[in-house]
Amino acid sequence: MIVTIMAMILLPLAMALLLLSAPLGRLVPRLLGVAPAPALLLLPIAWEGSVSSYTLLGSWTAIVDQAGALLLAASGLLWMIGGFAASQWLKGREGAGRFSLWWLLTLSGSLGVFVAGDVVSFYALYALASLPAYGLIAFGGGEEAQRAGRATLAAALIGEALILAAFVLLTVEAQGQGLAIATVMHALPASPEAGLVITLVVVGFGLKIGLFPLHGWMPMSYAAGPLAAAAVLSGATSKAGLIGLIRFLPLDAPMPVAGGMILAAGLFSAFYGAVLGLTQNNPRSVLAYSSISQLGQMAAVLGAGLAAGVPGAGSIVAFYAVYHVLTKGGLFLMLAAARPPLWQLLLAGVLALGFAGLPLSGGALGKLAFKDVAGSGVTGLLFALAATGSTVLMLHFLRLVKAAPAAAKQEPLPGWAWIAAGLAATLLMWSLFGAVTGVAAGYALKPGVLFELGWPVAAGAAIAWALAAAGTQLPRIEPGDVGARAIAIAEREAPRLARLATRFEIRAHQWQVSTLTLAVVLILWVVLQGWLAPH
Amino acid sequence: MSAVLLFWLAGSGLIGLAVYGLIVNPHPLCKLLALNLLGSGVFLLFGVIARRGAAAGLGGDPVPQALVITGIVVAFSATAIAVALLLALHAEAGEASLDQEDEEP
Amino acid sequence: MIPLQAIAETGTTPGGALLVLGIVMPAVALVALIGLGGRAARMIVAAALLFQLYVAVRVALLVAGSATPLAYVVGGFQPPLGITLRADGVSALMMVVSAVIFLGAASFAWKDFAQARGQPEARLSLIFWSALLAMASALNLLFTSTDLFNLYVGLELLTFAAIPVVAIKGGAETLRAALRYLLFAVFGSMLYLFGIVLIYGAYGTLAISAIAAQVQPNAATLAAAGFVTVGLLAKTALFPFHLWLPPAHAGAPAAGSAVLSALVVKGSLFLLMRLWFDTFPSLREPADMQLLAFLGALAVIIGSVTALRQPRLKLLVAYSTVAQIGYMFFVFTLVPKTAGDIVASAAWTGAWLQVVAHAFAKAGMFLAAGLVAEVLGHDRIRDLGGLSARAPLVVLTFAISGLSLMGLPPSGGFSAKFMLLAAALAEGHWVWATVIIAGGVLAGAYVFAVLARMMAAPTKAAELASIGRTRQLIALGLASVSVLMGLMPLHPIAFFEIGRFP
Repeated sequence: MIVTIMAMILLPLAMALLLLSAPLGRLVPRLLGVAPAPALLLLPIAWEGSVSSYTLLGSWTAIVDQAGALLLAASGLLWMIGGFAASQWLKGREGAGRFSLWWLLTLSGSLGVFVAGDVVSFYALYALASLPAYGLIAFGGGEEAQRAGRATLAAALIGEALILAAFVLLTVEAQGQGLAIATVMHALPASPEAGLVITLVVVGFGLKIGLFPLHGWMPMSYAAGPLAAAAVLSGATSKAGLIGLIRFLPLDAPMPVAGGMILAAGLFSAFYGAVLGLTQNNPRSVLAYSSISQLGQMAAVLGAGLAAGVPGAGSIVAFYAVYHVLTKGGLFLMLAAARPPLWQLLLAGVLALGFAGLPLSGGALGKLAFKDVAGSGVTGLLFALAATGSTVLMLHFLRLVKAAPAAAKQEPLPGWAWIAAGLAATLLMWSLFGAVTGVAAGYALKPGVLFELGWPVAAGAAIAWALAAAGTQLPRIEPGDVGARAIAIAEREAPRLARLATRFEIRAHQWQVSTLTLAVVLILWVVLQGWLAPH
Repeated sequence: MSAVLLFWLAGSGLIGLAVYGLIVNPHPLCKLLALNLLGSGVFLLFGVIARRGAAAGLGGDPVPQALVITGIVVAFSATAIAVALLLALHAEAGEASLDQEDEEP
Repeated sequence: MIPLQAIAETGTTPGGALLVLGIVMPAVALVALIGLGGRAARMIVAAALLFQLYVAVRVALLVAGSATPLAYVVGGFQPPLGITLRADGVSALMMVVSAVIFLGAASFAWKDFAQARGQPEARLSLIFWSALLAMASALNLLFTSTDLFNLYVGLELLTFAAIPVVAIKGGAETLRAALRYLLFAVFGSMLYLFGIVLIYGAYGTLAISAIAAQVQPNAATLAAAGFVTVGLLAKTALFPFHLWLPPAHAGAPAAGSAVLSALVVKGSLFLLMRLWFDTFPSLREPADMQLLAFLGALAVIIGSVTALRQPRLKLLVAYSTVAQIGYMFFVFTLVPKTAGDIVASAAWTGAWLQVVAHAFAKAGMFLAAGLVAEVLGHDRIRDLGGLSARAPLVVLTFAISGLSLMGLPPSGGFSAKFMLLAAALAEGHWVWATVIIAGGVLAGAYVFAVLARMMAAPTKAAELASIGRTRQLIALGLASVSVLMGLMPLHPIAFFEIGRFP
């Protein structure tokens, strides 16, 4: 097992090192699909409920549990499908080596983070999953791509900083008992800094999953990067944030206040993404907003789990995420097709409405799985309404795809890739349902359940139809909305602040200023010492 | 006024003058001279310390005197290097000034 | 009253003579160099530096083996008249680090400062090699001496050896940088010397152990501590006393910059830590230490932002040094006066890890920057495009050095930052913790700004010079050490505590 885990993390890095050598490096872009292969060896663990940990190297440990394995299985498959697609796209393309480098680095971190067992390796792999994404997004080199890349990088760096603060606090609170996630999390609920740690965790990882109002970079970057990159980033690497929440929220200790707040934030994000997505013209942005909405729902379920103290909430959310990983990735890959034939549109429609819980779709099983955690009553209704929102949004997406503007830049990706991803999503969901929930999959076929799942979708379809019939034109809002506005302000203000700092530095490094400061510090020092020293 | 106090004041005065010159005088040669003055002030204080710490029957504590000699050698070396740099700078740039162009990047 | 331990430590320990060798051998080699001339220069330097490494490793092993410091009483004269050389854990650590980096820098410069056969002897190569030896000797003196005046001599020797390295390229700009450096550094050492005078006046001795045993918070001592500290701040280039550092470090040849940034600024920092933790630890007033930490925080923030805005790679790397030095000053507030608990040990270890990790990362990065300038013929960050295709190893070197500077695991920079942060948070120093974290974000920004340019498509077809593989591997090797350090467990390291004065 250790070998498999090491291979999973190191194989992509080794391939990245191969890029250094000219003759072998040329092979690497063709083998991107092979790089995630070791992850598939861990696939069977997704069916098991066991938890095991391993020491990799020094204090670096790995933990393999169901939540991690579920995300790993789906992400591994998506990286593989995306890798084969990207290889084809890269054939003969300028900069294939560069793209492969960023791809492989992100891949290593994206898969590794699901099994990281201690705060240090988690931090390292999380960084690996986040920072190199810059290169994937900015690959095109255009102004827009670079801007999106910078925004993503800034979000990643700030997220890293917050997470580091949380991790160090966790370690300090655990009083040097160790760095393993289980150890540091055990000490958290009783710690006086629990509120601060949870805030840092939610904001830090919230930046990665695009939790409102930290979502601005997401539509920008998914719209700017190459499709293959957008597919794996939206499908797989965004789940690094999800596993972060799963690992670093103390789900086994009920925390009604913190949990309630996360639940509320997640649900708000879910609605916000669905509504704002409707204002988008670009199918990629729509998918990005759908991600914001979906990941918001996942965060909301975790919040509900934290409020009630449900340790199993992690696996359940991960199970729900499996569908999102592969299907969201698949839908991005589908955008490469210029004008999909009707059967493909229908298939895409079924897959997309799966996000809303269309009965019999894979996504429906995810919704059924988290039903108990999410609770009934008002929250249950809100989740159902979020599904309605997803329906409207996905129908909007399908209309955009059908109308595919011929001018849109198409990227030659193999047509089978997205279908494979969609089928894999559906298959995984059906076969895993029993293992995760302990209920036979036949449950999903009961009439009552079908109705329960079906009405939000039907309602959504009705709203979409009504909107279309009334010819309602929603305002067009720039991708990233308030977030993009915030980014624009940061882009304007940050250089100004930096210029200010530089001017200050230029002043400070003038001879007279510097020597005079030296004299002042000297006097200040002696005075301070004289005053404060015990006499 | 005792001799020790007088020398204390003289040394401190030298140091104060030197620091002032070092801060405000823009020409590197003047800064160099100021540094030498600073050194002289410090060495003078060494002498004061030596006088004060002298054992009975001795004119002064020998340790500070030994240290002053080392200090003078060091200050001399510093001056020599600085003068060499100054000459090289003058030959290279036609003027010897410490100002560097602080254009904002 | 002198405690028993201080008396016990005045004797020479087995292996103590190694400390003398560490200082004297480079000096002997220097004399041989001048006597035998430039043709034999490189061989002499190589032999001397290899021997240096041997000595350093032996010292470290002896210290680690006995868990007590090595000591040597020079000439058998006991303090207060004589001088004792003493290597505790951190001295041994720094001796090894400096020996390794000197070797790396020397091998990197091997071809650049060669003496071609049949040509008249070039003065420049002789100057470079002798300066290198002098710096090696001076640093070992700083790491092992326990006499404040002796340390002053070491400090001056170090500065005087560093100046020619800065000025060696010639040109008005580098000469000006060297002159600024010299004048400012001498100003700093004069302040230091004045402090020494006051201390001698108060205690009649300059031996650290003797002063430590009888230190009193009287006016003379307090003033002395102030002068000594501020003088050393000027030499360490703590913001805003860094005016000399960026032009000096950016103007030197790559191997020289590596040594200057990685080691030379650490010489005076080492002395500063020696003073505040060994000589008069009881005088550490929180307010003064906060002042140091405040300047350190300014260095981290302003230095990083300024680095981000530099148009030239070497200047960016130099400003990054200004920023990284800032981190090291947090140790003064983070190690509380009543040392001994785990928090203090974490801060102590973190600070030394930061010193060492920065030394290797910065050495690697400056060498990489030198190679960049050589490949492209310039080091304008804007026009670095296409470098990854032409010199991937250089980009890799820059990237892994950057990893340590940003503080991402696995790297020594991460371990250092993690432990400093842990100490800061455990003691409720929220402001310094925030600065440490913000510094990481800013470092990430300037490292990525460069990497992104290096990885970008070539901006224009340019004549590219070729660089040898060996030098790329040397730079990569030094940078890798900073990453490998990250594989050590995140615990306070007992070796760093060996022989700390109580």
